[in-house]
Amino acid sequence: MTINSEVRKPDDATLVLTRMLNAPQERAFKAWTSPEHIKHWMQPEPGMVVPFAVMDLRVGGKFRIQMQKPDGEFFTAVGEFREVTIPERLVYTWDWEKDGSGTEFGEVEGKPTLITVEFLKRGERTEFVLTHTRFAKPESRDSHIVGWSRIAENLATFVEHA
Amino acid sequence: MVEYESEALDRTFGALADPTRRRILAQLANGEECVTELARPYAISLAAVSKHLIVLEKAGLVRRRRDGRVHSLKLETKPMQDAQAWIDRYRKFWDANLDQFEKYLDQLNTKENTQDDHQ
Repeated sequence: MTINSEVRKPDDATLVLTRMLNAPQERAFKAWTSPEHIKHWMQPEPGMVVPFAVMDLRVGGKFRIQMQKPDGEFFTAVGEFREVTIPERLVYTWDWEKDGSGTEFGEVEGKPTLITVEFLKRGERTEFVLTHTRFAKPESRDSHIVGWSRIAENLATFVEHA
Repeated sequence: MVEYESEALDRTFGALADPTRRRILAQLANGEECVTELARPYAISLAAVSKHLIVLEKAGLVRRRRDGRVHSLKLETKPMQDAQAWIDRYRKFWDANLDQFEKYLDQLNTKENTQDDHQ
């Protein structure tokens, strides 16, 4: 697979993807957040479909996106909105359902991660930034960011100089 | 995939906060070593080194292997590998989704422009 996004890795627990979208900010934001739009583009692997998507786009509101592989296997993502600033910024948790085959919210794995998406107006285009962090809890996330980057740095130095 | 809770992380960071323990990890980066070998470069007792090793062990950064009376220690890289695997998995996931998202936006743009022409 070709990797088209610009990728930054501020630490071992955070992924940042940046893209310039060829669409105005409001249109891009709406396409990202409306269930009827999501069904058209959410496709992490060729042949996957979205049978079911709901979005309650407000702070504390929940979403559920059910993805299905051609062999029938379900991958269902669920989460809660923490920040909603239309049309430029969203913060939400991201977890997976254990089973995921139902039409209602089901039992989750219980290891939520945290996603921040930003749609920055660049004239008629939009700069898109997605930040996916491994830890949804702020306290563990912060200690993690400091911790892992320090560990990685330290170990790299050790291996070089040892 | 193994997730690391904050308690485990605290132990890890605590373990790395000490210069002697960091030097021990540096030594272990070259491969497995026995406790007496690890203690040699330091002007501290074997008992003091053992205390540091216990901290590193509890943090999951080293693993101990016992061969009779000889205790050897090995660097444990799994926590770092797990972190890398997590990043790679989601990078693929979002990259594929964003490719599709861009394609879909192009379709929307075309549709909007066509509608504009008719107005």
